[in-house]
Amino acid sequence: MLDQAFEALKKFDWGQEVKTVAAIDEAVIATHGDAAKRKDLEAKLTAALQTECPLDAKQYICRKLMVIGTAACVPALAALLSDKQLAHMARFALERNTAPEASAALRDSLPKLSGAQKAGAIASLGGRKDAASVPELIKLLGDGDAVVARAAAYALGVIRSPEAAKGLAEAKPSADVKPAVTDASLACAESLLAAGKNNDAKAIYMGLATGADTAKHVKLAATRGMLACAEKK
Amino acid sequence: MNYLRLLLSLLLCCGLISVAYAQDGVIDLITSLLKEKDKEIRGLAFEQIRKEAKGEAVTKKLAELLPTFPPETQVGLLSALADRGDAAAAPAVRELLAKSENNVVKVAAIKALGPLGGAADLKLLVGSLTAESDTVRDAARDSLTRLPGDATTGMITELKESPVKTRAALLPILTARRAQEAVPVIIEAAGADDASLRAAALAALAELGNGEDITNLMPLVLKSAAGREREMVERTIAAVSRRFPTKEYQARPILFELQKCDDPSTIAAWLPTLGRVGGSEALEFVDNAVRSKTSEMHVAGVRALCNWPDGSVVSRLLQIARTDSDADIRKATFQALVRIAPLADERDDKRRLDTVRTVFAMCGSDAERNQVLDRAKAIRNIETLRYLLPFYDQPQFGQQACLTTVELAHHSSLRESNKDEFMAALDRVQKVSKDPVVIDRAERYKTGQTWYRPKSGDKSPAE
Repeated sequence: MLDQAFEALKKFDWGQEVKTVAAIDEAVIATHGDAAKRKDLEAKLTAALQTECPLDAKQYICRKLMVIGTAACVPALAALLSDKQLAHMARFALERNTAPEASAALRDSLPKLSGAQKAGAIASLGGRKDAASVPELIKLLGDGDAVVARAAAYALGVIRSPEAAKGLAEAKPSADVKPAVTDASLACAESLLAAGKNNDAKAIYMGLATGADTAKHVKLAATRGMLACAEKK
Repeated sequence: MNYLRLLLSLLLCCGLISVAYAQDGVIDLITSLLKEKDKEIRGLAFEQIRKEAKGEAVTKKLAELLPTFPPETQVGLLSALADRGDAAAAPAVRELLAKSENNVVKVAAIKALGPLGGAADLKLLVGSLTAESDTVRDAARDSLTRLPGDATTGMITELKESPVKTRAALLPILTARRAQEAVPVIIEAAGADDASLRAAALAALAELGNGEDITNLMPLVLKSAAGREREMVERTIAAVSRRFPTKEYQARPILFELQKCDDPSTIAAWLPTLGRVGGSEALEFVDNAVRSKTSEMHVAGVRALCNWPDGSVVSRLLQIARTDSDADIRKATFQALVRIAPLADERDDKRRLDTVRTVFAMCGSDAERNQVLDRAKAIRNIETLRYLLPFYDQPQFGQQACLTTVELAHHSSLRESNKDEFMAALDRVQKVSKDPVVIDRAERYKTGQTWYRPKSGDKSPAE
């Protein structure tokens, strides 16, 4: 049955009966807790991903690899990061892959990508809260492409480490990117405050509250943050 | 943001505030925010005072700062301290109230004394109830309503000793405080010489009185002047009586007083009150009075029936309206019938509507007939709508029939279960009625909109 399903994948599209590949869905469930069988299934899916199967089939495979993927499937998924049609689904699988190789692949892809694909990879690094990518993300705050720079800011706001906060505080973003940097800074300060690092949080809030050209709503948010810092013992 | 920048720079330079000094840091920060020109920034400080910055020490420090701020900030801070509810702020609030010459600040301070003050503030607040400024009076009333419970005793003393105007102003406050211990003093006030005080006392008694107070309320009927004021007393006693959950017990305290009494004039004066309460035990007593050979007792008995709260006395009223030898009694009884005929009792809707037809036939003028058509709205039945249909085309009744139709249509359960008939009737209403509000209501009910019930005389939506 499983072999037939893989055979069906060669002609798969979302408009056809899903039951033709149902055996793969069932295998994903049935192999839970059986590392050897999972590895075998992952290998078959990875191999299929690298064939000339239809776009819909590759999307389907990425979805399955999102559930069962390990370091083994990372290279095949990473190869799709520059593909305009499949980059999104590849990141879908990589972002949820628990292997550190997935983070490394996303980081390594950054110099090779541009535009929406690069912004997507950055967002996935943020989604993985990948602290190792912070130095690169800080550099990207000054990227000439505002889409990339904003994505870097938002990712740093998701990672929320002290290093991320420092990078955001020291950044000199363009006007297009500044709101994203401010947002991320507030997110970092909130996280630092929750972690008991009141002084670090307060420094961020104060920087935002007292900035000469800070927007009113940001000043209010930052002042509220300062009050929360002062209140927290 | 200058104060803020300076303060925070200082804190940061000093190695930032330590845990031990966190509270001082909060106060300093709040203080600096309160000095900001931007009211939204000040708003953050007020919110912090209301909900976050905890402890009596914080309250005291902030309250001490009250005189240092401009009036606008003082008002905000007073409100925030009031919402904070810590009585430790009360001395500073009192001091500001005494020293400030700004009326808005004074009003805010009076308002703050409600949640923060106590019995010590009673004299001042009671005195403010008769201030020239209505904002001061309103603030004092609100604060007296909120003042902690032990202030009620002092208010009762004030109710005994204060000038009439103050006593009248205190009564709604005691009512809002549900101060039932004040009822004996309020009953005294209900017998006062001043009419406004008597009216305020009766309104309070209607809310606060209970069955045990009826004995003490009954003499008020005798003291009150016949007419509107006596009606007010009667309604008050009826409202108190209705507090008994069991309908049959509601008239018992009044009956007890009536049975104890051997003065016919007093009994005659009390009977209309008994009528307002109703019930089968009361009806037996009233029937005896109606049958009395004494004119005074007979008239009082009929008045009691005319005051009845439900339709159970309809047959008696019909008989009196047709057969009584006194024309005035017949007329008064007929007027009562118009009101009572459609009221609910053991009769079904059909019998109630038959009574309405009977009363309509007894009318001597079109004005009375229109009153009957108006009262028909109390019978929420499709038969009532059918009864109205022939009146649309009669010029003297058409407008009232239209109004009664929309009143019936307002009740969606009746309208929706007889949709076709109501749609046709409402179409006719829109053609016949000259009242834009009635026409608009007909349109609304045709489309199922029953959430708004405008009255004739309201501006029509087109206006």
